[in-house]
Amino acid sequence: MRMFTMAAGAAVLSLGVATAAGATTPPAGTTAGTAAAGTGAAAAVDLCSAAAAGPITIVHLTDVKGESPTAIDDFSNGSALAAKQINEQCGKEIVKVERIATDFSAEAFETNVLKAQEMKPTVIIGQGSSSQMSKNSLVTDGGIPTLWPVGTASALKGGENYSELSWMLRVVNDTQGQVWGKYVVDAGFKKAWMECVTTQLGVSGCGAAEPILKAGGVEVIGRSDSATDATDFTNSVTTIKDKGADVVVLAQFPRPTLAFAKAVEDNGLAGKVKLIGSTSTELIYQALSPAAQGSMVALADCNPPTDAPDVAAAYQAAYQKGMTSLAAVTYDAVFMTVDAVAREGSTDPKKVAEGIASTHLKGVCQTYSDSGSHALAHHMVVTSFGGGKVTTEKSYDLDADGKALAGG
Amino acid sequence: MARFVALFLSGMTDGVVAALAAVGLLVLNKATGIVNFAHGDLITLGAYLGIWLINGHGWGYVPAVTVSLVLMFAVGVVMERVSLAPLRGKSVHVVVIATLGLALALRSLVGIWQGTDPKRLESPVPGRSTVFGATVTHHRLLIIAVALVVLVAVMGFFARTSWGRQVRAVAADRVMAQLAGVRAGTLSMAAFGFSAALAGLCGLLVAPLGAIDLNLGFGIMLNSFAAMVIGGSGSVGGVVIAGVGIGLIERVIGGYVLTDYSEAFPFVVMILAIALRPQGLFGQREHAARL
Repeated sequence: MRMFTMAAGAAVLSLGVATAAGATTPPAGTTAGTAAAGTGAAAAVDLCSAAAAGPITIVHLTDVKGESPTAIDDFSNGSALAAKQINEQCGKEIVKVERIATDFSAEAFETNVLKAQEMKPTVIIGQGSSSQMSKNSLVTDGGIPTLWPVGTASALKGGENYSELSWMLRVVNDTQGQVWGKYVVDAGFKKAWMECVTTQLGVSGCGAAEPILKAGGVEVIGRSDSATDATDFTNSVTTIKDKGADVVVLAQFPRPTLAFAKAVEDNGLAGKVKLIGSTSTELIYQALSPAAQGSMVALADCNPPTDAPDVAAAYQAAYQKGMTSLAAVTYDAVFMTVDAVAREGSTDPKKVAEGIASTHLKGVCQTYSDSGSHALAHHMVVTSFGGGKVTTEKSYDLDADGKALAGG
Repeated sequence: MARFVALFLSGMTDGVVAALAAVGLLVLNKATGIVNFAHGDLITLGAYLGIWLINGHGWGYVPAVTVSLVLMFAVGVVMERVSLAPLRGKSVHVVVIATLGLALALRSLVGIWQGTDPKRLESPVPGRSTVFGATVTHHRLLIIAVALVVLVAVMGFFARTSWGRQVRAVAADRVMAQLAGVRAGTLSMAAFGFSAALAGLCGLLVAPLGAIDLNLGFGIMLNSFAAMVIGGSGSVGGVVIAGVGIGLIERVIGGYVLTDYSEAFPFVVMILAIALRPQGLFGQREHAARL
């Protein structure tokens, strides 16, 4: 069995980590490890052994435009870096990532996912848009395991868009809402305004947050549900000012988040009202003024510079930008694929799907596992942006199905 | 009172910007017959030019805005020459699709040039004041002042200059105007340039209000279409009043009633206007005869 690490200062891979089922504690200095799930006994997997199973090809559907265009590079860079590191470590090409440019429309997805399936890859990484889930039945029909860098409850087991061959790499919307609520309560805020958006995220996220806020003794002074392209929040901000809110659940993204933060700042409320943004706010916070950055925290699946500093440093060196959680999940998706092939000893789609279903990969973002719901993420963080850097403020664990706060 | 003042000034800001954009659309439409669906992306381009010069090259606001407007005029002329002049005489559907294609091309080019991360532009007049208890940023007051001055100047320009009279003549009867010696081709180029420059000014004005991304101009364009329809496509003054009106309706009335749906208000008014007075509130029933 080959076990190796990269030189200090570069990303470090642990390609053979002995572990029992559950979360792995990788050797010092490592940031990505694999573990055979459910064995209960020490087991190790050499990712390079996946080469024996045949070439591993991943088709990554890469967003080229849409409402979250800022994620384009992050998603793409994450999978590219992972493949590069694995291949360099193994001294040969173990995994190849092919790209198909697509956009956020379901129609474009249909065309491109069919094209991806025709390429007969080992795994497809979908694009970062929950709207594609309406076409998830194509995944079942195509027979290629697909990993989604999104969290959409409707695509989990029992949901209307469920596919036995697709998995969610990120926390689902309802759970984000619960974390919003829990954080507001935990941080001791008293009066909350809810700024929601008329999409699944906003409606379900705010819907899940509100009862937690009320149960925690937080007064909800009001709520606004606006469109995804809203740019004027005078009405909300004047109400916040009039009623003395000290926190805003800001379930918007991306430009409304920035416009709202600007409106809060313009009205002299920066520093007086804390804004709690949605996931992916880490992509856009640098467009805020320093004062507005200091007023904002946001949800994220993880914070790579803190959670996996070596990988984040390698990412920074490769792309001259900080590694976000969105880059981290596609990075982890490549490792998850190779890990599944290595453990199953096959690139047969059914075997790879079994490998993903039994994963206990300790990735950059978190330790992924599937209790059967096809939700692989079980952890969220709340990050702040003061001083122009992303800092983890608090972590929350989710239940085994990734659909609720642990014990909540 | 404070709430009303805040909403009123917010509505005025949105309204004058919509009016400015609508006048650009109107001038182009009257001079060429084209409805330009790339107008929103021209607004976005104007904002990005400002960012490029001010944030990227450290220019002052006045020279940056001046150069941006000149560049926008040039962009408009190039658009007309390269993409739309060859389509003269084609079906209006072909031309509309061409402007949609231009919109996508412009958006993609700006994305390639400036990236897709949202950007920030500081206001040239930072700070805020309290007006009847409402907090008002100086930038909103600047937008209202600049837009009103420009709108009055545009109305005067069309009423009193030869170029304005030529546009009005083409609007009234293109063939007759050409027979009378109006050079429609040159007029078309100039109208595109003028319209693009007005769009660029909109982008430069609104950029410091929030964040700038590739979708910045789209919403403004939609409101400007509504203003053009409501005002009546034959009247600059009518379009200006309609633009300001929909801004106020959206923000002030929307601030008190059906708040979550306020962004639909301009289009509800537009539909009512189409149903009750198809020529627009200030338009004439017959072919538009004045600007």
